[in-house]
Amino acid sequence: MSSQDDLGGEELRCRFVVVGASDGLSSHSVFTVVAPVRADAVSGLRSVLADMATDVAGNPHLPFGRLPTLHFASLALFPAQGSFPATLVFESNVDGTIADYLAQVAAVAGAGADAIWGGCPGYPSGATDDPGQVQRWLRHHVVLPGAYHVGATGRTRGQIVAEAELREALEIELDERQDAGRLPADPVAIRRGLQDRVWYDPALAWAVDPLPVRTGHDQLRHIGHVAGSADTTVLVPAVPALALLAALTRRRPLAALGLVASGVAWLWWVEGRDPPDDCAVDAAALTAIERCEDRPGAVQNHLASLTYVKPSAGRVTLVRAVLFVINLAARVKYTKGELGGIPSIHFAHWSLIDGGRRLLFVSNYDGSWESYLDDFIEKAASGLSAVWSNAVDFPPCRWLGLRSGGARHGLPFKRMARRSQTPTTVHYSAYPGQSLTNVLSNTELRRGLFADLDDHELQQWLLKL
Amino acid sequence: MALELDDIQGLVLGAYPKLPWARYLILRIDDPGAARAWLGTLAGDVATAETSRPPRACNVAVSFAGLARLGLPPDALATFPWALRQGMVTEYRSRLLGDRGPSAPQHWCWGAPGAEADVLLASYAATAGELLDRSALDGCGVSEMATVDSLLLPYSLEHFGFTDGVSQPILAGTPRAARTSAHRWEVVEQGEFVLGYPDESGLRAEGPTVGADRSSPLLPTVPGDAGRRDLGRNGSYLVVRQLAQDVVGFRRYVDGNERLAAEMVGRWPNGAPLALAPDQPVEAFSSANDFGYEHDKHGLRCPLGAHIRRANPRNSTSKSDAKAEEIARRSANRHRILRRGRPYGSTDLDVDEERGLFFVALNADIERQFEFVQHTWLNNPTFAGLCGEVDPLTGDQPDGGGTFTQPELPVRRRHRGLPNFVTTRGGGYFFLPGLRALRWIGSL
Ligand code: HEM
Repeated sequence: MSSQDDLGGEELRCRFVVVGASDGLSSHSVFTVVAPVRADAVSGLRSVLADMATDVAGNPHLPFGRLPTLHFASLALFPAQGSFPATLVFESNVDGTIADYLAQVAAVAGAGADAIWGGCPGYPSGATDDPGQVQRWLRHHVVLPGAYHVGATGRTRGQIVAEAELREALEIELDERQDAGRLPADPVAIRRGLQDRVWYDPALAWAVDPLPVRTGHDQLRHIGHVAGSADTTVLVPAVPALALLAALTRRRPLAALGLVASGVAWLWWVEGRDPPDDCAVDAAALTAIERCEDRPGAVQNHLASLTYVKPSAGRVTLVRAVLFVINLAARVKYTKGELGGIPSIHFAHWSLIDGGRRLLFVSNYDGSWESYLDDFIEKAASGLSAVWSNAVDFPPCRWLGLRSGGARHGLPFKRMARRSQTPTTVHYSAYPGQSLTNVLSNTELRRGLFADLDDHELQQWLLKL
Repeated sequence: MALELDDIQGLVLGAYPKLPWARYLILRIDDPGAARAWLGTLAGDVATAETSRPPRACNVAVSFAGLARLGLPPDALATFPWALRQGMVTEYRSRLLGDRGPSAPQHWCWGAPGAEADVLLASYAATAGELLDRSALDGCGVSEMATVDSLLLPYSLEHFGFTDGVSQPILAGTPRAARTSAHRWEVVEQGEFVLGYPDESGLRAEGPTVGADRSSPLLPTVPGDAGRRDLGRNGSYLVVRQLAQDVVGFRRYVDGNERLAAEMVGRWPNGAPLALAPDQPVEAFSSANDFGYEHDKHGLRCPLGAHIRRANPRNSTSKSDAKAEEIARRSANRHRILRRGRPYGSTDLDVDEERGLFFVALNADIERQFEFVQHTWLNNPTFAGLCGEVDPLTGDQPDGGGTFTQPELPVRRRHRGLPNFVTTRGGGYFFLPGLRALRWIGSL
């Protein structure tokens, strides 16, 4: 997670297009590429990943810094688990379409793609010469999340990076004027000085254009668009079930009631079974995970977790339904940064893989693991328990942990989370110094710089500096 | 729940304010057999929470390395929390705690990797002569790694000149909690500091246990697990950091700007919090704790980055509704620590010796409490929406100097070039056992 992008000429031009053309409604693609790895290829892959980790932005295998639409990416290798082979998860959170992005990945990686995915069954060997083939193979392994959250909705990577630079420039300008005793007392004059700073600097002049406002119509269009970006197979079992229930309610109300009651009874019964096995976390595994966390220079961390869904068709259906609800909430309700009261998640996604037998969770969050988990425990225990109470070894709870138990058992929950994790060997962030709160407030700063503000609004704006 | 005061070491309930002298003996175990015997007899001398004002007091804590050396069975050792087992000086924890550069463990005077402390013995007395003398440890199977003597400064000051120890969580169910007109957030559940009692989330604070077959009936049983005995009950985890303070550097930086200094701390030197007394050090507020930050969202009274606002954000939240404040407050109370540290070194700046704070904190979960405060609040560059600045007083400043933002009208002032005023010189994580547990360890 090392350096910022190098702002080479091409990158810069591209950013201008992105920033300039941004309609403020940009949509993200949030997905993983999940592929099994042959047992004999695991140790080789491990060293490739370790090699990449030394210079994530510029490494020769897949220099993430050269992917201009990328916000966050990660590569995490889960060891073989039961009957499942080792699994390589390549996570990306990007502007624009998956196809465009994967084409760039194939082009930028070149022979590097062989080093990363060469050990995966079915990978087109010698694909180096044909990025098209690599791209097709990657697309074939794309997993769309059942539910996902985007913190900085509607912002392109270019916008986020540029707005952070804008803030930096404004803060420095203010410092210099203060140091030189040239700061006027009048708020209007203060802002004018900052406007001048931007107006005359070609590198910042883009900020003069107002940020488009999102209308209700845009909002609807946006929801429509993103609805297609999640894994809709989560609905496959739910839709016929609901249709059946609706039909039954009309003709045989008693039977329908019985059906619902037996569903509730079933949940009561299964929740009493499968006592969780709350064992200690393996020390070596934990040390390996910690080695990848809280790296200097980055305020963000990454979490990659894989759990078994409790083995029953009912559980799989339930977790699909819960993910559907969370996804809906994330699209409609949690669009201003927070997810269930947690203000520190840039991108997070849940995906069911292996036909619903395993649940993959990846998250790019601010601060330490401890603070992230505590946020979950203190602020979002219900939603979290609703998902993971369907997973093996989750602390015991009733009614999906919506009211009590589950993730509220802080220490057992944290141990379970740690046991489900694998080290995120490679983590890339396009803006490693910016918390989500920073990103959001940078946009506010930009929005107000040239906007019409009354006295009160102007004072509020100055307080954002 | 009533605390079993006769089984709890005195430091948990009080800081012995009437005993101005303290000596911290940092010890290595050379002869486990002799050391066990010594700890067993020491149990008779350890001050418990039952006596509120002992004429002199001694408390003892053992690190994970020490517990292993004393021969605790492996099944018991495995039940200690990860932070204690790892200790303070792994590469990861150093990163988390900001112990780098001059604060890196290899420069420490004690507790460096490979030289971790085994036992911390804290002695408190009314006069220097009554402190436990190291000669008393002859033949006890331990040897001295370091000793730090401390004399409380007048008016409970710390070396930068501010009143310390004003804000402390008060344990629920103690006479103090009943007596004080304690504010909503001053009272914190017992299990946040004493193992085996319910904590803020209503669950029993998890402590170490030992197989019933391996232990004597000295130890209480574990509720709900007949196969194990409770080693943790009435104990706590103790964090020590020897923090050297650069008083000259601090004064030079502040350069007589008393307001700037107060904003860095969040209280005036007399203790009055800026949240209540933003304009001047109102004496009536000098020990005030009955405040939140609900009327100060932008930090115009108390800067968002001030030491006390970082160390305990109380009900700070970016939202302005009562529900969000209540969630913030409840959440903040899961990250409290009991501070029991004392200043060391001379206040006379002409005396060329190290001075600072022998920081001691008690908590039931080192990762959730002490480390969280240190990492997620004090050293967090994006705390409360700030960008690129850490705690002005104690923070691990970036190379080239840090920043501190003083919110003001019409616009903020940024102080730059902040050096490190505090350097870590030693430290460790310890288990502060209950008296029965201490006797049991002695009987091994
Ligand atoms: C040499 C280093 C330090 C100095 C000089 C120092 C000084 C102070 C002062 C003057 C206060 C205000 C008085 C009070 O409320 O008691 C205070 C409060 C506090 N400090 Fe420190 N401190 C230091 C290190 C630390 C560290 C390392 C931590 C925790 C990791 C910490 C945690 C706290 C807490 C929790 C409060 C109370 C905040 C509140 O509840 O409002 N301090 N400190």
